[in-house]
This record gives sequence, C-alpha cells and structure tokens, in this order.
Amino acid sequence: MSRNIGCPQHEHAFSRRGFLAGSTTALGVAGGLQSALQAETVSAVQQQRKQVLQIFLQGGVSQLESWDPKPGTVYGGPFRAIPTSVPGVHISELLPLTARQMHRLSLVRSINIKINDHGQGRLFMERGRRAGEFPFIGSVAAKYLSPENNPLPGYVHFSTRGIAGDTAAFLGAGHQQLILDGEKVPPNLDRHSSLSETSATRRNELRMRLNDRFAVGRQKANVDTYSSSFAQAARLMERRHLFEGEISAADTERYGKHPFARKCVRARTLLEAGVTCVKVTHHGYDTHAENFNFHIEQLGEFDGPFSTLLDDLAERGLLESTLVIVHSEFGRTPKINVRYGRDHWGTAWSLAIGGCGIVPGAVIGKTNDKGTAVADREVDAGHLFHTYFQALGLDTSGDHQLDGRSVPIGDPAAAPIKELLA
Amino acid sequence: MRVLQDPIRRSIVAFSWQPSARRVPGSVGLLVWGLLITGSLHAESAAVRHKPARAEERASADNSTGKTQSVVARKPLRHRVDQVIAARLAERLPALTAADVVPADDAELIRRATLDLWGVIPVADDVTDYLADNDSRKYQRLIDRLLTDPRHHHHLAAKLGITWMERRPDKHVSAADWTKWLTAQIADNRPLDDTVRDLLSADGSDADTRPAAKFLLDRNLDKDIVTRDIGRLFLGRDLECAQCHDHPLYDEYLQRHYFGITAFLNRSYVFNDKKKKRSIIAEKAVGVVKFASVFTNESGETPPRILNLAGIPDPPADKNPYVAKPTSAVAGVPKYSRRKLLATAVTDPANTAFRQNMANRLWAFVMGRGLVEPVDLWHVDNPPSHPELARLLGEELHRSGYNVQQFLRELLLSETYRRGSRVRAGVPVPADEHFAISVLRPLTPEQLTDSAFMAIGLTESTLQRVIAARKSKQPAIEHDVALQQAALRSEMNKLRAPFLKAFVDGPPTSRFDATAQQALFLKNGGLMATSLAPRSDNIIGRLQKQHEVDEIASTLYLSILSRPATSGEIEQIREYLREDDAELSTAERTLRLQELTWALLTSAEFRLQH
Repeated sequence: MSRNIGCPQHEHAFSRRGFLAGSTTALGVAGGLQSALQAETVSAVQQQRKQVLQIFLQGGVSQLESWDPKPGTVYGGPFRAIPTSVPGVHISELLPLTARQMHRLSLVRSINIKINDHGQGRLFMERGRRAGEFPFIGSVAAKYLSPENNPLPGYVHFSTRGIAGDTAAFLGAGHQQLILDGEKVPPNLDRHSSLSETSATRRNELRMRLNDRFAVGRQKANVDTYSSSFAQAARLMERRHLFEGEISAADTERYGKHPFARKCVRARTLLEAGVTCVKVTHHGYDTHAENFNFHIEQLGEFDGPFSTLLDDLAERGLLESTLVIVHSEFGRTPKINVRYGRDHWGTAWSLAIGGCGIVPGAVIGKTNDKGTAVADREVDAGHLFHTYFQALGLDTSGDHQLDGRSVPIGDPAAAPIKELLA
Repeated sequence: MRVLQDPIRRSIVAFSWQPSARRVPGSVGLLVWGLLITGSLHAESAAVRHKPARAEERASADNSTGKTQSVVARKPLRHRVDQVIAARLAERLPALTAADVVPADDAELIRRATLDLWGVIPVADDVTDYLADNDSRKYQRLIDRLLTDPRHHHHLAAKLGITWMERRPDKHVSAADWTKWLTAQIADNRPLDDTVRDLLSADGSDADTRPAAKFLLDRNLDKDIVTRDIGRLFLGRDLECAQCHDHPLYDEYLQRHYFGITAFLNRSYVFNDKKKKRSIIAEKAVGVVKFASVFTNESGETPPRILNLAGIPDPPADKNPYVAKPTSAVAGVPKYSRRKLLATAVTDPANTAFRQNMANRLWAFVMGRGLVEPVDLWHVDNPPSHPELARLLGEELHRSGYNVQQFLRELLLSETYRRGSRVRAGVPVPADEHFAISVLRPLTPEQLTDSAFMAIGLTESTLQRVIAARKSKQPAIEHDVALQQAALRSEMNKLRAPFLKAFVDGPPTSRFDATAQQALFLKNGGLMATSLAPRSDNIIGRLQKQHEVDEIASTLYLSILSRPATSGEIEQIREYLREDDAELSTAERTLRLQELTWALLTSAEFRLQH
C-alpha cells in the first residue's frame, strides 16, 4: 500500500474512519473527537510548551500614565504613583489591579527606538529590525515553538480593526497571523448548507486517493504541503468551539463585558488549547488631545481583564511557560500640548514583560527626572526581540535556515537584556 | 504507450550520454537522454518576431567576450541548454537513466505550456484536438500559437507586472493602466531592456510612459525601498543587509553597493502637482550619499554606481544648476540628473548582473525554478546550479536584443522543458535543481483561479454571453480573439476577486504557501458551492446529461486535469457512481458528480504545475 504517500497519517485515520462509519455513527465519531480534544488541552499544560501572550496597546500608551509615572514633575500630569506588589516599584494609579500583579511582571523603562511613526514603530517593535521584510514576534513563535502537526493556528491575533500585512515574511503563509475579532469564528469554518457530512467525507476521501496516486514518483514536499492544509482545515473545523460560544457568567463577571475583556477570555481559551502566540490588540491610545481623560478610560478597560488573565494563567500553571508582553509602537511626549494631549514619542518609554523565562519584579533602565530622555540602560526593539526569544529558549544568534540562504533570527547588531533573563 | 506511437517521439534522433541506457519494454527504439532533435524543430517559425538589426548591433557592440560573435552559425539555444543539462545530469546523477523518467505525454505538455504561456489550463477541446493531431511538428506549432496569441501577451504582462510591483496597492498609477502598458510592450515584443529603461526613467509627466513610472511613484520613491527592489528585481541581489553594514554573510554584498544605487535616487522626490492633480517625480541638484557601518568605524561616501562598476562622478558644480528650480509649486528639474543615469547604468552591457538576472528570472518563469534560487540571492555561496548555463542564457538574451519571445520560445522547445514530471516507481526522485524532471510547483493565485473557472465551464459560458451581448455594437468581436479576451477579462475580473483574495497572501513568492484558510475556502466557501450547482452551461449540467461512464470520465478528466482518464480511473468513476447497481436516484447521482468534480478540482494534480 502506498497510502501514506502524500499526506499525513492523521488525516487518513480521521476521514477513513468517518467514511467507513457513515452518517449513522456520526455521533460516535464526534464523541471520539471530544475526548481527543480534552486530551490535547491537558497535554498543552503537561508538556509546558512555550507560548506567547502579546497585548498590543495600539496608538501608543503614555509611559507617564502607566509604567513610568513622574508625579509632581513638570510633565508628570495629574495622576499619582502607587506602590505595587514589588516593594519600591511604583506605577500609575490608573493601574491599581495590575499593580498587584507586579511580582509577576518586570518593566523596561529605557526604550529609545528613534521612531515617531505608528507604522514604522509597530514594525520595528514586532520585527526587532528597523527595516526589511522580517517576520513578526507571533510568526517567529509560531514557526519555532509550535509542535509538529499543531492542530491549531500558531498565531492568532484578536483585533477589531484588521491591520492587513504580511506578518510571516520569509517564514511562509503557514505562520501568518489569523486575525479574529473575538466575536465571529474564522471564515468558512462551517460546512456549506448544501453539503451533507456524508458527501463531504466521501469527496474528501476521494481527493486523498487522487493525491496518493499523483504523488508516486514526484517530489513529496508540495503535495504534502497541500494535503496538510486540508488536514489543518479539518482540525480547525473540529475546534470551532474555541472561537465562539457563550462566555460563562462567571468569566463575564470577572473580566467584564466590553470587547477587550471578551478578547482576553478568548485569549485564555486559545492559550489553554495550545495556540502558540495569542496577540490581543487594545485600540485607542493615540491621545493627541485629552490624554488624561482618555487614559482613565483606556487603562480602566485594560487593568481589570489583564490582571484577571494573569491570575488565570498563573492558576492554570501556564504563566511559567507563557511569555507575556504588553507594549505599544511608542510612548507619548512628556510635553503636554495645548489640547491636553501628548504626542508620538519613541525616545524614552516603557513596556511590561513577564512570565516564561523572565526575572519577575525587575525594573530595567530609567529615564531622567522629567522623563525627557533615557538616563540608563538604553535599549531598542532589537534588544527586546532578542530578549523575548531568549526567554522562550530560542537562540536568537542563530539563523533562520531558508532555501538557499540563512538569515539571522535577531539583529546581529543588538543583544538580549541579560538582566531580565531568568 | 500512446507516447511511443507519437510521430514526434518516433522521429527523435538521440545522442546518448548514458552508455547503459536501458531498453524500455515494448518501445520501438531506445529512449535516451541528450539532444533530442526532430528535424522539424530546426525550422524557425515566421510567426515569431525577431529583431535581426538590433541583435547584430548588439553582437558587434558586445565586448564582454572580447570578440565579435557570429549570430548565424550558432546552434539554437535550446540545444545548448539541453547539452548542459544532460552533461551535468550524467555527472551528478550517474545512476539515473533516461528510462527511469516517465516521459511527458502530449496532454501533459499542452497543459504545461498553456499554463506557462497563457496562465490557464487549456480548454478541453484544445486538448482533444492536440491529441488527435498527427503532424510531427505539432508541438512547435502549439508553442508558436501560444506565444503569438493575445492571451500570452496579457499573461506575461501580468506576470511581469506582479514581479515588479509585488502586489502593492495602487497609489499613483492604476493597475489597469500599468497592465495595459505592459501588455502593449509584450505584444510588440519590445526589447525587455527598453521596457526596464522606461520603468527606471519615466517621471510620470509624459502620458505615454506615465504607467511605467508606477515602479517609482507607487513606491513613493522611498529610497530604501527602491534601492532594495532595484537590487533584487534587476540585479538579482538582495542588498538589504548591506544597508546597515557590509553583509555579514555574503562577502560580496557591500554597503557601497547598496548606497551606490541609493545615490542615483537620493536627490529625487515625488512632487504633487496640485494644478494637474497628479504626482510626478522631481529632482534636486544637490545631495550626497554617506554611510557608516553599525558594526565598525568604517564609513564612506559614494557617487552613483552599480555594484563593482566605477562610480559616476558629478560634473563640476554649476552656479545655476537648474532647468526648473524646485519650489512648492514647481517640480525641480536639474541640469544634471543623477536619476536619469540610473536606467542606462542598470542596463549597460558592462553590468552583466542585469542580463543574468533577467535570463534567470525568465528561465524560472517557465522551468519552475531559477538556476539561481532564490532568484534574488545571487552570490558566491549561492551559485547557479549550472554556472555555464546561467552565463550562456544571459549572453544569449543580451545578444538577441532582449527578445523575450524568442528566448521563451527556445526554452519551451528545449528537451529540458519537455521532460516528464515523475520517475518510475522505486526510483529515487531527483532534486529539483537537476532539472531531470519537470519541477513540481504550485499554480499562482491567478493561474489557479483562471484554471478553476476554465475547468467548471465558467470561462466558456461567460465568453459566449459576452460575445452575444456585444456583437451588435461590435461585430468584430465574433472572430477577434484580442477583443474577446479583453471583454472576457473585464467580465471575469468581478468573479475572480473573491477567489484571488482567498489565495493571495502578500507579495509573490516561490514557496508553496498552502494555508488552512485556503483549504477551508475550497471545502466550505460559498463560491465553490455555487460554482458546483448544476447549470445548463457548467460542467455539472453537462455531466448530468451524460449517461455513459466513459463519456463522464472523459469530460471530467479533460476539463479539469487536461488529460484523458486512464482505464483504472474510468473504473473508479464507475464504482463511485454505483453503475453496477443502477440504483442511484437522479439527485444522488448529481451529488456524486459534484463530489467527483470537487475532488478533481482540489487534487494536487490540479493545484500544481507539473
């Protein structure tokens, strides 16, 4: 038998079973899937696979109203700094719940990316490279941290505004982000109404038989790639429940009802199920006017769900294998403009990081007293990129091995922030 | 065994490089590698244009080989291609014999060539006619027909357009204008270097060449993006890393190469002409390019230069350096324009990187893989798989006056192009870079979309509808293929959009990026479901009317896979339709016909070029 030529065994096993079972025993098949699913959920925790939770505060959160408050200084703004669960570390009073999570997080307060443009800043923060077509954090994670034959997409991005663009670059579309809005399931996940399950199974079986015959005597790679895409599609269909379904009353109570809260609940579900990188974008930090009112609102939305999510990940034992990054494309100007706004500022700003492989409770670098420049331990997105992946156990001084070339994974001109690595 | 009865095959004269070539059981003669020459292939087709005057001019001007070459006495390029491929095969894969490869049959060849030259599978009737044709020169006639048809001009233009613009969203010049301009270039068989010179020199102020300015305008003339893309697309060298330092891995990619290209561009900018409501390219008379390494203390300054060729120094400073001085209302035009030198410098015969890159990309276009692969990483650690061939192709393209049609024709007439696509069972599959068998590769999103529409009969039915609707106003449309195709395209574009959207994922790439989302689209998408609903003018409607299994199998396989079904496949269909039981209801039978159609459309055989 040459049956296993051309597509993975898993796909055959499934659909052949479905084919033989026919419609009368469909229930039995579904039952089998259910238990297979539970087994996978458990195994994601047991194996302690490395995962990434990336929270992107789109528009540029103000470092002065979040991680690096300067109360009582000329540009400090109206808010106080409050103590956190780490003695001596203070953050803005706009983050009271996150302050209690500080022992699980660390801060980098000395970022200078020298970019004040949304698009360029976002790309640099994602790619760790100032220029060029490099893969995003999520795509690199999907490529190197996903188990073989991952039944789930490696990189899911919850965003209500689809920011189109190639996140995978040379790693290939298989590691591209899957953008979801947190409410609807991915497109085409349901069998078309005109098609019965029997018919779908039968034609799929036929497709595989055709491929088996075609594959004989040819290079396997392309036939395999094509077959795997169908196998992965089938696995996604089986996991429809991960993308939708009611959020429980208890979770609604704890997380809240607004879209960012709901995305955080879904992010937890996907991380538990084994998606390698889940990115949640929280829109609306570009506060050129009314910076302070907007930050009350925005961080008010962020603070609760984010800290609840950290609690839940910790409780489920996932935090030690999940790298958590909270970042923007840049910070905001110390100088307050005439509209009570702060403008784009890539020169001296902060982010929070924690979980897998990161020393907890650390504060890296500092800005000067007025917050107008980095005073110590200046880093940029190149250093951060190395740090994320070193924490995840990937050697960023190594290369992406591509067809006919190798490309350094991290920028060779930058290095990880060693003090942050556990 | 149909292959061996084919007159072309029987007339083959072979020079063997494989002394122990095995006898194929049942064959009429030895089938061996090497130069497979049918006498008829020597004949040149009058249908394919040549530019002898231009070519001779090139030959005598060509000092790259140090002597004047004769154009007439050369063996056709295709034979020299086959010679190199065969010689390297004998050297590198001595165990592989000719008999190990299953020869390509007529059906495979007409599918392969039509996909490569028209971007779509052949219509079923064309396959049937081709198989029935007993002319020993039918393959050459096929290639010439494909190459001179407007469908080829449009396909090659679209292909080049995507290669050069990499699916960027439109900014200043519409995709329609761009493709139209490129199609005219191809239809006239304009020398490719002339076309490239227009791309690099047009400033958008002249209506005739404004579409060409898309290359620079739609990149907003961002000097980093344009520098990198000129390196990749026209020199075959991705100099990106050399932007910040000499390349850490490739010794010959230097910062001065990167900034040498930048220096042609750094004085130019996009000027928004508010009066005429359009953007054009303007230029200042001053500006130098300096660079410093992020690793070392090295720094430098460079005038415009291409790779290792000499820099082009500016003329002595002029007190009044402008034809038109730049202001907010006036587009700057300097007396001495660095940017104007770019087009000539890139295409200059002394810059052999240009011809080799263009030849390598055209080779990859039809052979499925570059001699240098990836096509934009030409350097000492990633040498061509066949260095002498890479050189030869570049020289030939240059010598022919960048005659793309003639170049492609030679490649398609080569034995290398016509090789089979699989080896016999048990034989190790040779790696792609040997070109021992045809390279298996995915259809582009456009090829896939158009082929799927062709296979289900949508293209034919739309064409008939378009002709019927327009013939009273435009009588010529009944027989003018160019008119038909233009009308068909505008109609099909609406239908193509959702299909293309599902399969286009960023800039073009030679990787096969098959994603779960694409598979979901094919499995569950509404478009697939509605396309397979029975209609009088689609494949399901036709199949419903057919009662003999032979006939059904023939419709399915010829329409979708462009080949007749084998007896085993006919039996499989018989079984699938439960012919023996004769019990299936009409509805159940239709359902199974739809399943068969879907399975063939989603099969690897359909999805891949082979």
